[in-house]
Amino acid sequence: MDRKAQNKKAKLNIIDIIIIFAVLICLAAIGLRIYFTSNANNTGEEALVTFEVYGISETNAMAFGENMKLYLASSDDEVGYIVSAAVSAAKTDAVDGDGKITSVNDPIKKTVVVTAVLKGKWGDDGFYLDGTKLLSLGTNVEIYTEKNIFSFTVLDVDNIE
Amino acid sequence: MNKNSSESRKTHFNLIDVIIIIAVLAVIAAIVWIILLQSGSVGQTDDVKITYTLKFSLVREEFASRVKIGDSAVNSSTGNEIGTVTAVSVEKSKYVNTDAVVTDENGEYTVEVSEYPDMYDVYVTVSTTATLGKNGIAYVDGYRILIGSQIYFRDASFASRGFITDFETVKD
Repeated sequence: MDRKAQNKKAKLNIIDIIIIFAVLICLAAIGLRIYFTSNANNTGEEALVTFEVYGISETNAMAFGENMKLYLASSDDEVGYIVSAAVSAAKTDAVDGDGKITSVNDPIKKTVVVTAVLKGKWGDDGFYLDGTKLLSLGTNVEIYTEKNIFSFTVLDVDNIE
Repeated sequence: MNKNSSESRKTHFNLIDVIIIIAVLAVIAAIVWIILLQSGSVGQTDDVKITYTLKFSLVREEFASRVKIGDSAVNSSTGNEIGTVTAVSVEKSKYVNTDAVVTDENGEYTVEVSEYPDMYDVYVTVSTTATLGKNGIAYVDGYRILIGSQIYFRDASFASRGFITDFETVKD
């Protein structure tokens, strides 16, 4: 009778240990994911970034405004605000009267050059938007405001004194 | 002897197994929650009435008048309803004629805008109830309603990819 009771006792076997390890690995992965997505933007550093939004419709171009908050489309994190936005005609290539290809104003598409204060952290390679995305010149990022969504190309990144 | 030892080796469902199963289920639930949170499907707090306009560019003439007021709009990538059509307008599609360079009043090169003879831009206004998500953005069927957002639209007789050109929300 005692032996039966002993047999029924809860015992850890090898499969249990493997499952526990798997669960612990999953929990660690979730913890790391949450850490990098929720805390990465709280780095407290800023950069003055100039970026270009090229070849968009006039309605999209006119939606930009000063002090609008900027959110990263991939994470919904607030990553800064617009300081200024200048709308101009996008450029397109056309053939002039002499048969030469020349750059002309596109009467339909617009280009917006935006200067914004963006949040992130400075590293050895440059400025990391939201602490995760290195903003090299030419980098493309998808951003949205309360009014519009767009992709921009980085033109310049400066320290804020 | 053999029978006894094989009986004692039989796997039993014990308390540790129950704890492990609960832990695994908790981990799966946490992963699903995080995925839904990041996609904007949860964590939304409020509903708003919203009207948004989709632009379909370069629609062939025979399809340009297919969408009718009162049609149910469906997101063709999810199959879910995304509102009711409340207005439709059609205009000829335009293009930039890069073979016709002209000089404008400032002496700069520019090009003329021409109309396609048989292609149209169709503007469809849709009304529905959206969910206010993170950052105060309205979501319909998990998609952000913002100028420039892309929506795969279909109704009973027309399907196309459209871009939002305008929207207006009214909080209840």
